[in-house]
Amino acid sequence: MLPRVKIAPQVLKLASDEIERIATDDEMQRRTIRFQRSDDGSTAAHWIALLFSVPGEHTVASLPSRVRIILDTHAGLFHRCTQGSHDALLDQNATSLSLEERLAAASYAAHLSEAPGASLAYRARLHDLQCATRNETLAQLEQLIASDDVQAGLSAQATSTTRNARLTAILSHTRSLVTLAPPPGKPALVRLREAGLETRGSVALSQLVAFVTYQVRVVAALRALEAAI
Amino acid sequence: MSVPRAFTSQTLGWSAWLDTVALADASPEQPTVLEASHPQARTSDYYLLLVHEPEILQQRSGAFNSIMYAPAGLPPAWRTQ
Repeated sequence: MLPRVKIAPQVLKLASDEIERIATDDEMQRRTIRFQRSDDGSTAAHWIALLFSVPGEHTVASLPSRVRIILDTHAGLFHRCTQGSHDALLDQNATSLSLEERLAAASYAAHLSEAPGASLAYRARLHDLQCATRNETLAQLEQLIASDDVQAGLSAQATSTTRNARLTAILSHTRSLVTLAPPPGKPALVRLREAGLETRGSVALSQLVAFVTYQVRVVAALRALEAAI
Repeated sequence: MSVPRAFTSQTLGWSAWLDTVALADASPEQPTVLEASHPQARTSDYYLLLVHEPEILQQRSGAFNSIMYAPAGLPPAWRTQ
């Protein structure tokens, strides 16, 4: 299977050129060093914002103040809202879709995006959760992830009476959103409703899957940039 | 909404398949989040659906708008790819 995360070569070139230019400024050089050493998603998001905000046409002399202004406004907002999205989507007091269900969906979305590290990190948080059905949820998720043939795994679950139907519907919709195979449509939304999700829950689930697929791309882009400079 | 089967150069619309939030029943927070999200959000099915989860939409709009509408950098068309 081909990796899902692809970065256009011209985007990569433009971004690595920008890093080289930025790195001539003292302050930016310090930030670059921090970026190179960091494995942290929030710093990664900050850098992607910076790279995509810095103009391509400028002189080195004009860069520092321009970069600082961008950092203070757009990248700052971007950074805050990326962290804010994470916090809102994985709120301890989540209601429409429980935190347990959210962590399971996040782990599965990362797995389907071929980001095993992120998938494992979400699974570890699920493991640390204090709730009665945690082990059952983990077992269902891990069975699905371990299954070589994802479609076969889903079918097997759908026929098993011991499985949690609501979680099955959530993970099945997660798969549709990430892989578009099959594309999510009205029947999928009806299945979510029949499994007990109100509109709020379906909205939260869709936003969560969108966030995780975005998150793993930010990290993948940063890793690619790290290798390029 | 019927599924278009032919090529069109018209702008495509977007209809919600789930119930949207009616502004008359909205919480005090919801219209504020809509206004910060997009100039036409109050009449858009898309935003009226997403505002079922106002805090999630607020954060998502901040990130989305700062990526898509930041000055300079990549041309807008590239950012959607």
